[in-house]
Amino acid sequence: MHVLLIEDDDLVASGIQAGLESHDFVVDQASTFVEARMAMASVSSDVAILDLGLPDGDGMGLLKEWRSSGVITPILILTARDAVCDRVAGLQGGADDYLLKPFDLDELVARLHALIRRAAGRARPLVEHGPLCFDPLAREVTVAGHHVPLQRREVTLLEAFLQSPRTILTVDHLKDQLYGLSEDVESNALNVHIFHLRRKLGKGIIETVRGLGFRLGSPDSVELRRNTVGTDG
Amino acid sequence: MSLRKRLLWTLGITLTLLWGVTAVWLLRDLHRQIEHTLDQRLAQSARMVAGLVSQLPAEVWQQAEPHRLSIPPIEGLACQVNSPSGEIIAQTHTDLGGVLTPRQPGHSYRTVEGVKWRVFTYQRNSLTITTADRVDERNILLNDVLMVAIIPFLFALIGSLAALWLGILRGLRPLSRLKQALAQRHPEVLSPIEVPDLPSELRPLVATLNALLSRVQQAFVREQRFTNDAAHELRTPLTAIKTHLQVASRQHGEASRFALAQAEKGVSRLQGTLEQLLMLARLENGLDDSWQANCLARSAALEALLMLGEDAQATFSITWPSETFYLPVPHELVVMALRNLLENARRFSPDPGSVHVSFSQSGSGLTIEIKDQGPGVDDRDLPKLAERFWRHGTGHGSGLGLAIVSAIAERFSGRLSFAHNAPQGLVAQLWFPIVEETRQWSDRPDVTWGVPIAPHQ
Repeated sequence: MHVLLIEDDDLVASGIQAGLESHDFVVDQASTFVEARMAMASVSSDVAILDLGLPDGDGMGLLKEWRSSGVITPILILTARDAVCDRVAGLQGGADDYLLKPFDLDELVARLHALIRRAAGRARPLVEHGPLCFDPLAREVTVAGHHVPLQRREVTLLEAFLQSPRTILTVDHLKDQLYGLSEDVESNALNVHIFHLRRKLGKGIIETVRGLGFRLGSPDSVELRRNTVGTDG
Repeated sequence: MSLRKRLLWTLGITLTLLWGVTAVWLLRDLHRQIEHTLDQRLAQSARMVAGLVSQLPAEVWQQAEPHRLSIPPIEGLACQVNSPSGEIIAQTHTDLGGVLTPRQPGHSYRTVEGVKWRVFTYQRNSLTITTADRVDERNILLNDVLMVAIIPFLFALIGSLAALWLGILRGLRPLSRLKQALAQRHPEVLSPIEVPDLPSELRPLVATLNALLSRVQQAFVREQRFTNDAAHELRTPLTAIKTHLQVASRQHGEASRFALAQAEKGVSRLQGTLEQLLMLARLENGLDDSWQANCLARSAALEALLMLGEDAQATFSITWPSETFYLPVPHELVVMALRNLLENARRFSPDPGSVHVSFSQSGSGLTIEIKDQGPGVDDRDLPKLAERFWRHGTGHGSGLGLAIVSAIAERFSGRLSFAHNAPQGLVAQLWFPIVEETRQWSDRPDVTWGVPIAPHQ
């Protein structure tokens, strides 16, 4: 899951980034109005965290700008402004959630997952795909009740596919999901992760759409590979 | 009691009393005058009869004596003439013997058969003439006259009272409009009061009130902004601390240590902000007695420079004052003000020699000027520099440093001002009044540099 973190205070931002990364989020930070605008345009985020007090402009303005230009990414406002009128203005201005500083890291993570889930149109916290079941909060994948150990990146990749089950995901989008903007990615790293997922969950779990990208396979294609259960990880 | 009632009562009662007293006075006077006139008429009639009777030859009334002459009666007036022997020679009314019996000369009252008479007895050439008026008839006349006088009087009184009532009602209408306008306001509304067509007496009152309201509103907005900003400034490091601590508790090894170090940074930032907020509060709400001392400008500047650390020294080029100046400000506060200004200049203009500090006497004070070659600020940001929690761009710090300098200047009758530096950068000017005996002090040989000396101790 890719999170765009818009926060001008480096100390707070580094804390949130470390906290979210420990929960397998991929985080990109923007610390100004201009940076945030550029980041939103260039990287596909699953959710954005927005601090209202930016040094070169008001976060509310950014929010309204995005909403009026058709950006549908769920946005959580994370701010120290606690007045009821601020919260109402934030939610009416197009935010999906409002969390006050200081906050609890677990609450932030739970709210982000809820936002992503709702954006994908799911009401239940668990994602199911045939016999495969994924718990986004616990980061656990089971097939027919058996735990399948996956690497962190593999879980993130699988999550991206499960998030948009019928969509063809481009290589760029998947790279954003896995690494964000900051990391320099080797060209075949994505293919390696897809190879591992296919090995552990069945060949058909991810389909290659030639020239366009990849897509989640049909629910029937999920297989429980006995040799991977409990041995890898 | 309302103003209107009080006015109505006071003016109404005063008016009625005045008019009443005047009326009583007038009526008494009128009564006396009429009485006097009627008495004169009575006496005049008697004299006239006497004149007539004395011109008659003696025989006439001697013959007539047994028959009694009859005088045709004048309305409301009875008359009788007696001879020297006491015989009645002539009379108007035969049945009024009791009333007209002669007595002592002059006016008197007499009551016969329940009717009161005013009687006048006159003697001339041994004849006695008695005339009499019925007092009740007199009273009827008197009442008629009084009625004629009193009705316009009453009319005038009632008219004045009505005019008074109307006048007060109309005259005080702007006041009641103002009262209504004030009564309808919500107590927390701070918008100006608007009452149309106010008289000139009330306009200054409403104008003053509106000016006060707008000042209160501004203060309220400022206060609210300050509270919001303070909440933000305190919550942000708190958030950093909490988040990093939570990360540290979930991680191991290097990541955990890094998070703990970050949390510690947050703690020191929070501490700094709190201390600065407390300093501002203390500056605004009076100071400790231990601060009541003068300070030597140069030693304060030296101490401020030392506090910035050795690395910082190279940034500043300083023109020291040729004279010794004492400022009527506690040493610690001048050090703090200068340190904040120097720190700020260095943050944006760190190159060696790029910040120039100079001291110059201007008027009755000392101006300390700090010129940097940093990016400077826009025209519109110039007045905001000393505002609380205002920061330049993504600049670090609590945003309180210059606000504290400004508060110190204000507290000790000084001034903090900013201007653009050419070609770029910012000029900060801190002005303090100087202690008047500065010159004398500078002549003292025992004054040493670098040690704060309070001349009054």
